[in-house]
Amino acid sequence: MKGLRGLFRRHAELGDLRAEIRAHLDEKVEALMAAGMPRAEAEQAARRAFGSVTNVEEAGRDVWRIPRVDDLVADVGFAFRFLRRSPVFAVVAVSSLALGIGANLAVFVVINALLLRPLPVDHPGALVVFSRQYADTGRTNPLTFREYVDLGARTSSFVGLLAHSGGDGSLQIGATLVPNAGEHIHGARVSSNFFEVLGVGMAAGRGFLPVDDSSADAERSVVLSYDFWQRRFGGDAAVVGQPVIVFRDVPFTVVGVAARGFHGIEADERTDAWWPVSTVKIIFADRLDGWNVTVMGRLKPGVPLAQARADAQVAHASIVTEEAAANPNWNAARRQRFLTQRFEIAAGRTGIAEALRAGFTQPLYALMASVAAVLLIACANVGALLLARTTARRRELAVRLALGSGRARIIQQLVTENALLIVLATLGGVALVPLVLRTILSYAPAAAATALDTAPDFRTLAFVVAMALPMAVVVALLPAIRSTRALEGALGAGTRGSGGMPSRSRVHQWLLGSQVALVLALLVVAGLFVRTLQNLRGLDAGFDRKTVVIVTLNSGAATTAIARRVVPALETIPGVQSATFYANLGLLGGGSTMSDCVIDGTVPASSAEVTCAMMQVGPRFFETTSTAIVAGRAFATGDEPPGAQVAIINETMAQQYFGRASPLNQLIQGKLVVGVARDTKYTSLREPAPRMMYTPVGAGWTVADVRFALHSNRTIADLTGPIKRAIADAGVTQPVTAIESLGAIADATLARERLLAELASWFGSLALVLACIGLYGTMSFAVARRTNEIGTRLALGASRARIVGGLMIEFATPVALGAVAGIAATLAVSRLLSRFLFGLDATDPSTIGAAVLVLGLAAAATAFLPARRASGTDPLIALRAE
Amino acid sequence: MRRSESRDLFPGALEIMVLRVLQREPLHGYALVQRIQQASSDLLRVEEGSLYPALQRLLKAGLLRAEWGVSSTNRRVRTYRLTRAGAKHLATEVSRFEQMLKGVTQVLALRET
Repeated sequence: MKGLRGLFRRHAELGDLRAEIRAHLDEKVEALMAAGMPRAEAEQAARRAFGSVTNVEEAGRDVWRIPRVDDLVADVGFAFRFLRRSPVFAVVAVSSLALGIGANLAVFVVINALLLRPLPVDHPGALVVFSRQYADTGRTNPLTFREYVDLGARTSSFVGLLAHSGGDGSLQIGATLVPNAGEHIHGARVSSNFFEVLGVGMAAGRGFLPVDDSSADAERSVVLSYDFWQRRFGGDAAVVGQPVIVFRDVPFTVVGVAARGFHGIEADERTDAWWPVSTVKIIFADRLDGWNVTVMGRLKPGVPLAQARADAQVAHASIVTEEAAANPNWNAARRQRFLTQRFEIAAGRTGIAEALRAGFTQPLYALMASVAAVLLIACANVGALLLARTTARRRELAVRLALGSGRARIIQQLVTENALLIVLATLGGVALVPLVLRTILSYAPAAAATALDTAPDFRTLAFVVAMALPMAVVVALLPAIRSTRALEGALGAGTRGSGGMPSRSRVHQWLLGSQVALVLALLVVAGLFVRTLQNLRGLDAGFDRKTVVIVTLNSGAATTAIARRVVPALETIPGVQSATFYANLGLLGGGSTMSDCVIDGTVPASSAEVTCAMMQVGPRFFETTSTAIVAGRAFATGDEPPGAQVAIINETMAQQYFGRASPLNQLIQGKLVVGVARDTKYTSLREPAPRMMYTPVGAGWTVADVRFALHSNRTIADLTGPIKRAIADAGVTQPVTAIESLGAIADATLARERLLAELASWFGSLALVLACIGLYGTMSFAVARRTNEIGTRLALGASRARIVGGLMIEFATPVALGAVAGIAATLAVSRLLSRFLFGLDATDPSTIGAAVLVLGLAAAATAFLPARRASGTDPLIALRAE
Repeated sequence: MRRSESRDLFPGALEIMVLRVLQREPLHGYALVQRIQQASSDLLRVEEGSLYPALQRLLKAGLLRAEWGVSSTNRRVRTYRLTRAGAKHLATEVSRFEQMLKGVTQVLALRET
């Protein structure tokens, strides 16, 4: 700051000084003339008395000099001019670094948002999340509301525990329900102490009153998020106290607005509104105790995590024992499964994002590794180019050294030139971030893409600094120091002397080899991911992806009566062959609960063998989804409970339960098996179908997670309008939240694989292009500096082919060594990689072979151009140039 | 490289004299030269140009202030005046100079024995 002010002041002072000197001389001349001296003589005398004007001005300038800053300003100016003189080099160097920086920063921003950024609450570090795992699935499961209440009563390590259960709602203002007027919102049912435990204040109104969450008469109140309040109500304070409806037709009252910046505890979805968990009783009078909730706690100050874990585990173990004792009718397998569950508490500072984190944590780190490799390649590349360029300037540098410039001063100037590249590249990289970020986030669910907080914070800044440091060394420092070594001798040698020939310099070979190694590793990994995606897409899902459309209504729960009204309405749409509904998810909607499925009259040996996924389906389900019935029959009219008790099982279940014997007419859980359906994918294309049992939906049932399926050859765009109209015409008030083709849903379960395959290909190609540019640049320099040698050899009768071959072989050695190192590197991480692969090995020879081929061809084509140009040298011109 | 110090004087002498003169009255460069030569009864010959770098140094150190104005002879001149820091600096420099002079005088007073 002081330096800057100094610069401006100096400028003004120099002007003043000049004016002053002129005035001084004028005055002196006048004085002398007044004493009788002629003008010409007086002017001469005045100058003599004054001394050298130039010297005085320079001395004056010296007074104001700020040595470091002045040198820097001069260097930066010189660096800019130097870059402008070679625009191609400047563009290549800056853009390759910028691409690397932009990609790294964008991936880091996503990692930061999903995994590192703490919740905007009071002391997030003291928060913990509770979870349990069952031995058979290995998945993390939520706790129940009952367990939440009991844990609160039996632990002493926590200031408080909160319960949270996220879900969708449909909000409209007023106390009476207007059909189709609701706005889809993401809500959460929470315990009344939710905001107190988190330490989140209110921007308007109040939070929930402290009540017993189990009591049926807890208040029917809603707290809005600040953003939703702004977006939907324009921040109108009068909204507090208004009646609203958030689900069904139950009137609630808006009591408050949460503090600005708080979007709930889910890192991957923004909550619009919260209401008490006790309102579960409004729909399901007896289901609150068993309601799934996420439980978080706040540690008492000074209580370490390990102690709290031990405390909670003891408490939970006693809850589990009591629960098992209270259910004597459980079979042995279920009892064992329940008793062997593992209870865990983990740090909760970053909130929850279970599904997204489970799927994307490792892929994101894999991406981070590949973009880091891209940046390293860019660095090695630009470093090599700079080294070659600076080596070509050795004569100029040697002259400056001879004229009295210190080596340190020369290095400072070279470093400034190189640092300017880094600064420009960083600016370019930062500008690229939004683009790369959008690409990465397009693979995440839409809600997550908007919810993930990608605003820069101190961690982002620290990351930028951490990236700049290795760059500063490889790009700025290394070429400057290397190329100024032993400069004294450089003056004597001819301009095209043999000193510092890139192709023969060790640093160049190392830089080239390591680039090739990284590029090959990236290409192999990209190839493996692409093949994995192809394998998964080519899988037989068991249902028809092209002709099935899935429709989701806002409220998950529906009565059979509603469902039976919607289905005929959908079937009246022209071009729709059939429609049906199903409950408890499936058809790639997943569903984590496995139910008991025991063959009647048998005693299972272990719990893992007697659970299956249950799907309750409406009429014509198998026909509509094109799921083949391979044995027996599909459901027919009259199969519905309670009149009949029938079931259809899938092939996996038939095979595992009955082997070669026919499952038809066997009894499972009191249901008669009437058919066997083909295996269909359940949670994702990647996972094999679980054992599944289908049963018809009984008349008068209320079922959870209802969806509709229809069979049509028309496109989604064509169908969307008619579907919405048909549902509204059927008198259904819940809005439609999603209309998707089953193919799109299936592809969405491959988000992780698509992310890996597409981004890895992208980064792999980028790395290849960068490496080729580097190779081309290095080789061009080498060839240019050896024009003389090549000319001599041509003059002595060497054939052009020999010259080209010789040059290319010189470069082939580091390329080949790098390729070997690259293959070794992929083999070393093959076990890590295999986790992401499907249908092939990480050591898949054809993939590695293809990568080597691509790299080899690209390298050869790149190296051929400068080599051929060199062989076209006219020997006479080359020799005369010396 | 510094050409500013007159070889006839010890370093810093010109600055002290400038400060002393300006303490009496604010002056512009030309008048300042005249005044110094006058005051030293032409015993000291200051190369006129060397005054300006000295003035620049004193400006930079904040011991002087300068402003453009019109002189009594109706010409545009840059007039220098002492700042408070300048006055303080002058006082310490003068006392240091006197100490030094005393020391030098005592040494020179030694007679051959």
